[in-house]
Parts: sequence; structure tokens; C-alpha cells
Amino acid sequence: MSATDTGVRPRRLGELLVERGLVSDKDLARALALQRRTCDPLGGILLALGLVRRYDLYHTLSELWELPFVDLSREPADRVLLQSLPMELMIRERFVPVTKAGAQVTVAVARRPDAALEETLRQALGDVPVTYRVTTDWDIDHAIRQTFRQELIDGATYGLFFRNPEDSAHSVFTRSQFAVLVGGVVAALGALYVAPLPVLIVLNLFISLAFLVSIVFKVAVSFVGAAPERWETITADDVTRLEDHDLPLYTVLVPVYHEASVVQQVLRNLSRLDYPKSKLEILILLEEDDVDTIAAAKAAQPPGNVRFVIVPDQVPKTKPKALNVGLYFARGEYLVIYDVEDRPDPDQLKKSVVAFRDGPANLACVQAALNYYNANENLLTRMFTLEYSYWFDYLLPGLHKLALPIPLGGTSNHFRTQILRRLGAWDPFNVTEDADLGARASARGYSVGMINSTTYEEANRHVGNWIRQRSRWIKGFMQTTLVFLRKPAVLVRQIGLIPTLSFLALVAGTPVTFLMTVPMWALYVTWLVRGTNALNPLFPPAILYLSLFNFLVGNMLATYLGMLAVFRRRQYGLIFWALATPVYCVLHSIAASKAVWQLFTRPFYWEKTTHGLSRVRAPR
Amino acid sequence: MASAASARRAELRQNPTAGPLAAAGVFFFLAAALTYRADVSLWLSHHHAHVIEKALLVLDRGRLELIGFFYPPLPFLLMLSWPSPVFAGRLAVACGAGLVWILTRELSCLPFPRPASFGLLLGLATPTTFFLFTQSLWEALLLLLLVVARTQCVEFVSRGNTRALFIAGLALGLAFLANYYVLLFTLPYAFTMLLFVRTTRRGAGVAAAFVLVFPMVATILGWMYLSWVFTGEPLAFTRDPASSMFAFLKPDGADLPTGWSAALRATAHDVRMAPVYMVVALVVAWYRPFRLLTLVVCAVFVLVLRTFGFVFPDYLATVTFTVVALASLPPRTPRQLWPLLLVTALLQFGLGWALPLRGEPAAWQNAVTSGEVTPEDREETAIGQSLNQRPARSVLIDDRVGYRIIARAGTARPFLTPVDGLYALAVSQPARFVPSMLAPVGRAHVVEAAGQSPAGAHPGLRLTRAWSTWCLYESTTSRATLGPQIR
Repeated sequence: MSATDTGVRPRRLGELLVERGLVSDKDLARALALQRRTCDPLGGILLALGLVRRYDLYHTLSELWELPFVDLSREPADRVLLQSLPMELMIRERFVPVTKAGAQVTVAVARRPDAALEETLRQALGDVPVTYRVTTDWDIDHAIRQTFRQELIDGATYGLFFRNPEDSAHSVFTRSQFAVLVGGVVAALGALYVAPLPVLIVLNLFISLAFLVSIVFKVAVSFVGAAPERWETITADDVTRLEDHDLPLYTVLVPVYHEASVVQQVLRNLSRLDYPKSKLEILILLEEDDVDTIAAAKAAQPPGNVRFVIVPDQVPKTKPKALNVGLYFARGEYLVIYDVEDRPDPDQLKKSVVAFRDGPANLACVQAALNYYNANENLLTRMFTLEYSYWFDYLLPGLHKLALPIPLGGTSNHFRTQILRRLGAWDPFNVTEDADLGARASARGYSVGMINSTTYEEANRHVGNWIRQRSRWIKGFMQTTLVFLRKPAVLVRQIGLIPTLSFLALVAGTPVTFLMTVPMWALYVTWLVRGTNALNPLFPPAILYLSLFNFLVGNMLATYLGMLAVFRRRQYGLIFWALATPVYCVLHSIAASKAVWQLFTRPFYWEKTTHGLSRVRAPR
Repeated sequence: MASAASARRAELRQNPTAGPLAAAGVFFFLAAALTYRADVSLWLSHHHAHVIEKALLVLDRGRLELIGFFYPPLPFLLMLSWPSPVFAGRLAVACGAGLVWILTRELSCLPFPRPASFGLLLGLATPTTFFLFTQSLWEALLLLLLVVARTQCVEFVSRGNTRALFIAGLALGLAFLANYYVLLFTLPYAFTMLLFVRTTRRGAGVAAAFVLVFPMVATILGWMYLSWVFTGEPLAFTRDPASSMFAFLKPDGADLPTGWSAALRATAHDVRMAPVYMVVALVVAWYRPFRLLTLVVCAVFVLVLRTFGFVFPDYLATVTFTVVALASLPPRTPRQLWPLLLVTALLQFGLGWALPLRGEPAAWQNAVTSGEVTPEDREETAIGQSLNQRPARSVLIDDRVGYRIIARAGTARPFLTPVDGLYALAVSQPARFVPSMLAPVGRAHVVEAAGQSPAGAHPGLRLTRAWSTWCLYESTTSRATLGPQIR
């Protein structure tokens, strides 16, 4: 007999919490006001706003649902019973089987049991009687992580590789690639021995053509991206029209490693997001061995919509592996990655929702722009800002307009979670997992778009730190190139010849041109200082003119593109610093050399970028 | 019938490309006919002869740097695909058609009846314009690129189109490869940015000006660098006879004004020959006084250049003033002014055809109107054609004065010129190193009767053929075999 049958009004969660002194009337009123807008469960709202402790909430819910409460930390679930069910099912449906006594199974749930859950359990467990207990969602996730530790780590690490080895950078070179490489090197050495001058001339020609193609491509694409109509793809009105109750659950993944000092900053930055807290699921991904950061994260006492996902300690210890672990626990319809120092525009998530809803069904990802809040700190930060402004404000929009593959940036990539899983998520063996994923999305027939929103980060102000970071990116570009050129004919069939060439020009061409910059400058300086004619044979007329064109016109255009970068964001004060572009390219060359070395010696090594070096305080 | 005509007019009004294309097409047809006429009359401008000769040299020798980094390079590079008077003329015509297309699009935005807007182009339909856009490729390129830059600048200032600003900068940079005067025209463009760029952020005008100036400065420095690398002198290109900025170095320098008073008279004359410029200046002064600066600075620059001995031909000045004026008409010019402007354009049209031209344009006009071949042109062509089958490097010639001969020959193969390493030796002992030598009359030799060695000439040479302006000397010995042995 229900309470309504007896004429007694059913008790409500809010009233119970107030009655128990766990929530004040004022806080309850605030939560209820939010509930009227979002139509979310009150408990989730109270947790998200940090107005109630998780344990207290679920204890109260157990009373409301008239089910006993179970503390899984004191009464752990039966491991064997747990392992008999699919991990993803339990995460999605928020339950774990606790014990089995005879035919009866006790199931701990973090939601009110309903017909759908009963059907799910029937299909999973069979026609067995089930009794329910209530526990917290944290405890459920924790139990799953403990029980499926090895499956989690294996899936996160080797999932893509087992699914399709050719999609993974686990093998740096395939056999055929290695054979081509070795054969090419042997042939080149032999040819150098037999006819050194023609070989060097051919090499010189190749380098010159690479530079020419690279600069012409970037100028053409950037000018397309500079078209004014690209600037406001999503307007403020589009965002205002969204109704809170209509917004989906959004997952934010934030991988954190050895960043104990900035955890508070992370939480503060994410609290600025203009998105209903009850529809925001923030997963802080912490490495198991990073005890300092774990302690700092717990000490920060984040609100209830923030959860910690402890990533089991196993090599490769990379960001994409951590993201893959986090993806298991992501429940949002959309998902975004932010780095620890990121300050996204508050309306970024809503713009992303608009983009996905207005975009085609095969839109897998939208990329927000990245830029820096400490642009004017020193020469390096200025050049870094120019580079990023150019890349995200002109080059990527140009690629998008031309329907060419977009290499994603490291953060602020917004995904449709379902498509992300279908693509196999991130490759833990690729140190630019973002660029790799963008290329893979294109190869599988999905599209990647841009949104007019910015995430602000800290630009590297220290040259050594910058070179470490940049060498990783360039190494990752090389890895991505090797992965996607394993079957070039297949790639061309999948995405077309022009997109393939575009991909090569950008992802493959970038490391090549960077690598050759210092050697070419060295040749030039040698000639300039010594006045030697010894290099003349390497530059027959056609190659000489091409090299001169690259030297004069190429450098001019590269500098000009740096100047273009200031206009979108009106960073006019940076324009004169674009003249330092050739010097900045030399730094890239140094990083590229390191990248090549690591590609062969430590291909999966993740050069950790040190954050928090800026003397410019991040805006609050 | 009436409805069809109205519909057609409405269609033309709505379709901004039809009118400009039509105007450009008419210009192209007329100008192309004039180049054909000039070619039939064997008329060849000095500039085109220079460019063709350099292109022939490069194609034969296979090395760009041999020509001492000839300036301006852009016309020369364009000519490499087909170094001939016809092609040079066609390229210049194409520039003119492009400029007419752009101007027509701009004029289409005026609130005038469409025929009136197009009628303003009559101010350009003068012999000086047709000469410039058929026989002076470098000046044609300059004007076209300047107008492109101007329209793109306006697009940036009025609509904030950043891409347009960068295209303008590239156009100005490219224009330096066509003509050095872009250096001075860039300054008012950059100044315009400082004056007219409106934004809440400081530095926008300066940034925009920098964007405009940078490609041109980079181009200048780049060309100076190339000149230094291959000739040892960064400013050698300023002295090349084909490119010389200086009146005293030009082949027809005597006609060019220098000094303050002469420059003022000449500039005033050119302004009078462009009544469209004067009237538009008045209109702009009345309705958009701020914009008057860009108009006035044009004439001031010409005056200053001439004062200091720089070259600025009168035909170029008149056409430049007219083009700048037509491009500067404010879009909101009151409709009731169209009769005044149209009458002015007609007046300029009449003046252009009624008043005699001077210098090279006059010779050209005579050639295309009469169709007659002048004795000088006939002679040059005959000389060139008689030598073009000679063995390689067998005819010693200084191309700084003989460029027209080489251009007429259609090949540089028979000629030994200053770009060749053996030239200096051959000049010192021509009889020993070359079978033949072609020298201009009145320079180093005196014309002697055929068959006799010229007095004061190098031993071993005898005059074999004499024309009114050239003499051909042949070696009297068989030892001069250097030429046939070269390639």
C-alpha cells in the first residue's frame, strides 16, 4: 500500500534532508529554484552545488526509497560476482552485485530501482530474485575500479591496438615501413658513395620543394580561414536560446599529474563554466603513484559533481591512457578534455552543444581555439601566442572551410561520447593523441569542426620547457604520419586525394621543414661568412632560384602569416614581434631534432611540460 | 520589347559582374587591336624591347643571374614564357582590362544611371591610356596592382575584412617588382590606415599600416640582397637603362622635366590634361574632405619626384591621376552630379584625342593610326632578322644600346653581350675573339665606305654593312672562331 493510497503525502528528499539538519532551508530553496530550470533530480543538484555530502545524501535516499544502505568500503562486493558482469554495463546503470546467497542476489544501486533496471538485471543475472541496497555512486565506481583494475588498464592501454593494430602507434614502424626506411637509407648511402653530388642535389631539391609546398599551402589555407564569415559561427543569441532543462549531461575530463599546486586553480577555472552544475560531470584523472596531487585534490573538497578517477600505475604513463580510463566512467552525451591550467570561456560548453545540434550527424568533434593569458611575458610567450592565434584562428578554420582533415589541439576538444568510443578513443602510444584522433575521425568518415570559443592557457616562458613540449608535439606528428601512411592507398580511398595531401603537407610536412631549418641556415651562414664557392655545385640554377625564393619569399610569407594572427583577437601589440618568426623557427628545428632522436630511442616517452612557471597571474 | 529591355537593365543592375566584364571586354578588344596594329607596323617600345631582350638572354643562357638582376623583374618573368612584342602587348592589355573591370565595379556602386557610371570611363579612353596599356607593361602592372591594393584597403577600412588588408599588402609588394614608384604610393596607403581605421583597440591603425608596408619593404630588401649577391652592388638595378629612375639616364631623358619650375609646369600640364581628376577632387573636397588627402598627395608626389630628377612620364601622370580619381569617387556621391562628371569625362576624352602627344606615345600613335613602318623600325627589324641565324656568340654587341636589335632578332643566341664572361676580352680584341661586331653609328667608330677598315677601329675588322644607325664589322681573318665554339 503506497502513501498516496493511504492519503499521506509521500515524503520528499529535500524535506528529509532539512529534517535531518543536513541541508538548510535556504540551500534547499536555492536547489529547488535550480531544479525548476534544469528539471534534474534534486539530489544531483544538491551534490553539484556542494550543499550536501554524498554519504549523507545516499543515506537519506535509502530511507526515502525504503531500502537498506550498504557501505561498500566496509562490506565489499563479491569480486567473483562482480567480474561475472560487464564492467561498462555496471558503470552505465550504476549498480554492482554485492553478494549471492543461494539463488538470491543482493545488488547495490545508486539510483531508485525501476522497471528498466529490473529488466537489465534480469538479462544480466538471469531470472533470479534480487534484493536492493543503496550505496553511493562513488562506491560503485570505486568497487569497479578495484575489481576490474587490470581490465581497465589493459583496455585503456591496448584497447585500440587490439581492436585494430594499424590504428595504433604501438608499433612505431610496421615491417614494410621499416624495410622501406632501411632500404632507403642503405640506397642513399650507396648512392652517396657512388655519385655524391647528384644525390645531394636531389636531397636539396626535395628539401626546397618541401619548404615551398609548406608555405604555399599554409598561405592558401590561412587566407581561406580569414574570411570574415567564419568569425561568428555561433552567436550569443544561439547560446541564450538554450534551455537549461534541455541540456544534456556533459563530461569534463581533466588529466592531472604532479600538479598538486594547481589543483585548486583547476577547480576554480571549471567552476566558471556556464553550464548547470547538475548536468556537469567533472572527472579529475589522477595517477595512482601521484600521492601529492591526490592529497591536494581531496583537500580541495570539490563539489559533488567532481569525481576523482585514480588511474592504475602502469606504463605507458601518458595522458591519453589516463583519458581512456576516464572515458570508461564518462556518462555524458558530450565530453571535453581540459588541461590543468586551462581557463575556458564560460559559454564554451553551450556553444559546443549548439554546434553538435546544428551540425551533421557525423560531426564527431568540435575544437575550440586555444590562446594564452600571459602573451606579453617575454619573447617566447609572444611568439607562442602568435603561433597559436594563427593556428586556431586562421589555419584550422581554413581547413574546416575546405573540408580538410583537422589535427586537433591538445585540449578543448569536444566530442560526441558515443562516436569517441566508436573511434576507439585515444592512442596511448601516440604522444599527440589529439592530432591522431582528428586524423582517425576523418579517415573513418567523421567530420571535425571549430567553434568560436577560446580556452586560455599558460604559454611556456622557459626555452627548455618549451623545447621539451614542442619536441613531444613534433614526435607525435611523426608518429601520426607513420600510422596513417601504413596503407596510403587505403587512406586515399577513405578520405580522398586532396585531404590526404593536405594531411601530409601539414602533419608530415611540419616536422620535415622544421628539421631542415637549422641545416639550411647553417649552409647559408657558412656561405655568408666564408664566402666559399664549395657549396655552388649543390645549387644548380633551378634549385638555386627555388632556394632563394624560399629564403626570401618563404620567410617573408611566414612572417606575414604571423602578422595575420593578431587581427582576430586584436592583439595589435604583438604584430611587430612577428618579425622574429625566422628565429622562432630555429627553436622549432632544435625541438624537431630532439623529436627524431626520441622517435627511435624513446617513442612513447611523454615529455612532461612544467606548468605554473609564469609570473603573470592568471585572471580570476 | 520595352519589358525585355527593362528586365535586361534590372538584370545588369543586380548582376555586378556583367557590366564590368563587358567594359573590360570592350577595352581588351580595342587595345588588342592596337597591339596588332603596332606589331604590323613593326613598332616596339623601349620598355618592351628591354624586357624581351633580357628574356631572350635568360632563355638562351639558362641562368637568371646573368642579367645582373634586371629590374623590374615582374614584366621580365612574365615574358619568359613567350618573349615577343605581341605577348608583351597582350599582357599589358590584360592589365588594362583588369583595371577597367575593377574600376567599373567601383563605379557601379555609384548612385548614377548605369550608362553614366560607365561613361566616366571615357576619361580613360584616350591615346595615352591605350599607349600605356599596350606598350608599357611595367607601368600597366603598377597601376593594376595599385588599384587592387586600393580596393582591398577600402574593403578593410569599411568592413574590417582582414584578408583584404593582407591582399593589399601583397599587391603592393608585388608591385615593387613591376615598378619602383610603388614605394611612394604605399606611403599614402599606409597613412590612410592610420587615419581611417576605426577601432576601440589602440594600435589597430599602426598594425594595419605595418601590414601594408611590410611586403614592399621585404621585397625591396630582398631585391637589393639578390642584386648584391650576384652583382656585388645592392643598388645596381637603379642604374640599369631599362629601369632607371633618373631622367638623365633615360634614352629619351632630354624630354623629361627636372628641377622645380620645369617639374611644376609639367605636373600642372598633366593635371590640366586630366579634368576628371580636378573635378573629382572638388567633389571629394565638398562631400568627403578627409579623403582629399589621398588625391592631392598623388599630384604632390609626382611634382616632388620630377623636381629631384626622377622620371615620371606625362602619359603615366595623366593616366594615374585619372585612375586615382575614378577609384576615389565616394559611393555616396550625390546623384545629381553625374551630368557634371560625365561631361568632364567627355572633355578629357576629347582633349586626349585632340592634343598631340609627345615622345614615344606620339611615335606609337603615328604608327597605329597610319599603319606605316618607319625607316628606323624597318631597319632595326632587318638588322635583327639578318643576324638571328648567325652562329652562337658570333656577333659582339653591347645590349645596353643594342637591346632593340636583339629583341627584333627574336633570339639572343648569336650575340655576345656583357652578360657573357668573354665579353670584356672580346671588346679588347674583337677580331681575335668574334667573327662579327655590331656597333652603333657615332659611338666609337666612324662610318667608312664599305669594304674598308674604319679609321680608329680595331685591326682585323672591316665594315661589311652599314645602316643609318648601325654598322656591322666582320673579321678579316679566320682566327675568330670563338663564337662558333660556344655551345
